[in-house]
Amino acid sequence: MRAPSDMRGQLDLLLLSAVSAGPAHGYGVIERVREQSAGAFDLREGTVYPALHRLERHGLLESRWSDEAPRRRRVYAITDSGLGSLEIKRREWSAFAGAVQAVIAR
Amino acid sequence: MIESWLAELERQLRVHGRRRRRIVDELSYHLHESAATHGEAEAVRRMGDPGEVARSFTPRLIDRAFEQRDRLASLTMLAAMVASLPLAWTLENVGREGDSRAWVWFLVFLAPTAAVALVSCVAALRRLPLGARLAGPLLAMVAATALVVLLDLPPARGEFREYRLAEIGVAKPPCYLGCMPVTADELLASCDRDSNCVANDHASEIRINYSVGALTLSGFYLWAVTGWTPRRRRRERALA
Repeated sequence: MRAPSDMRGQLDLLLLSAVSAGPAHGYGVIERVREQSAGAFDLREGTVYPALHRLERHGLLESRWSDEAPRRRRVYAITDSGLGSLEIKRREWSAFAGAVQAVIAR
Repeated sequence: MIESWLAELERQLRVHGRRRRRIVDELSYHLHESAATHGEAEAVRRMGDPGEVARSFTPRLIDRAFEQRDRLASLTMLAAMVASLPLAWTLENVGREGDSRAWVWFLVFLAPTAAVALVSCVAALRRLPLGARLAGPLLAMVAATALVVLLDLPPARGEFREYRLAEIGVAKPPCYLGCMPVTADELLASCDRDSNCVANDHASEIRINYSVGALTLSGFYLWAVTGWTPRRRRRERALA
């Protein structure tokens, strides 16, 4: 089994998972990850936007401008391809985490 | 402070046009929103170094090509289809007078595969899931077509027989057997015995080159639009 050890892979998993809960703008995605991880993942904001753009170029996310008050924002939503990719990444991560747990629990 | 951060980002950003405006606007809105909660200094600190952020938006050419591999593969497939049409037309009509069965051959044998390829490529260019869904069936159709051509089964057999006869006729008009009237079967049999008769070699080259080329391209296309490889399939099965 290949370990999903590179940060980009984990960042993609976190972002896709956060956006899969519902459309959100970049700031909202960062806040969502921070809240859901109880503050453990305080993502560097400068890395999140390039990642969101990359995921959109891959067809895993789509985005549009939202002019709802009080600010204009770019809102991201997950695509069907993104849901499929998220499912694969979730399974890979679960298998990896389970294997690590099995080793360290001895 | 936010404005100077954005100015530095713009200075170092190697992205142009609408994408550039979008990046600057998006980060500007983000920084102002963050500043409303945390203050300008903290908002800028949390965003990080503008040069590093700018470079993150500018992937290397090889990375960009890899990200766009599905579209590149679609364009390659479409280009190969378009490029093969004049050659196919020439081959169908070489040395033949009057009506040709070119369109019948094309419609009955190749058109379904070409239609699936066309729909899949257009969908893949637009990043629709249909493009990836059709890539597997397309490879299967191309493999079946290649098998028919390589094994010289109908309707490929008839077409290549006509092609060989046409080429023999072009190369050796009309006195190939001492100006004696001969049947098509006799003409082909004499070509089989004649080491200088290259019609069979040409037919084999066309069969192999077209079949292997189409199979390779379809395999590449499948990988590019779905990311599918036998190794990945095994890993997914293991995880399931």
